[in-house]
Amino acid sequence: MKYFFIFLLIFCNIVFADSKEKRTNDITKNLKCLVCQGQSVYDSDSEFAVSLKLVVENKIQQGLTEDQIYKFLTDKYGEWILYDPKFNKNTYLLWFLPLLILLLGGAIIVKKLIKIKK
Amino acid sequence: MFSEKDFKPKAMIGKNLPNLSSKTLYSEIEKDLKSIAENETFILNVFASWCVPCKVEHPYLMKLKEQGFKIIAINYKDNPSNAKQFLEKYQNPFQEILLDPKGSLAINLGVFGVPETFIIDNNFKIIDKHIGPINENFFQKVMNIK
Repeated sequence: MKYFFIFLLIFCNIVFADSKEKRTNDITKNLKCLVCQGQSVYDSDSEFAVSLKLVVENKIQQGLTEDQIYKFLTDKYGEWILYDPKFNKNTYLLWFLPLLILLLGGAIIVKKLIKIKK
Repeated sequence: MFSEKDFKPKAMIGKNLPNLSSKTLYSEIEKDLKSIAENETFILNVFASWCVPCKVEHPYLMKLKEQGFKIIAINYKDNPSNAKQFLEKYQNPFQEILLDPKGSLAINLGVFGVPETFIIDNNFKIIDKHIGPINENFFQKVMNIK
């Protein structure tokens, strides 16, 4: 019976450790390494990325949710640190600008086509 | 719109400084920023002995110390004996130096490299931040606080 509990303890530690590692990986894949060109924190070995991975791990250990960790980091670095920024009043322009440019471009093309047809 | 290499995150400006604590360079005692600051305006400088631009800006820090500014340092991802040698060689402008061996204090400050320097008012609010070595512009900005 004693060995069963020891086995169960070791098994649970492995499963939960994997799950924490997966959560760290998922979060850091969505964080930009601000000292690298185009790399995520997950992919980077820079001092900044190494420290940030550690902070994310600690926050997960403390029981913070993914959203709480993103909020913590965007408070420090701004929405820019996220590859996938949340939709809020600070990011309306970011989300809508491509669509606005598309619509504007489309309107210009349609106007030109109408002019040519006339 | 943005060039990533030109991006300088300043999201912390206007916010309260986190009251970070750590062991200090010259003692094993843990201290926190609020108790060192004692409700005064101060400069917070993040540096490392291995950081070349930190050597470039160091004379400005010494001038600020001579002008009576309180300067607190975060020693970022450094070897303490190397940090002590650095300060012996270039002189020590810092009232206190908190150790940040893993860089977690720096992350809490929104720092992404060294050196970075903050101006903190007597209400513990971050009023300005400079990324990179202190230059004449920023030095004058600090001097105008007095």
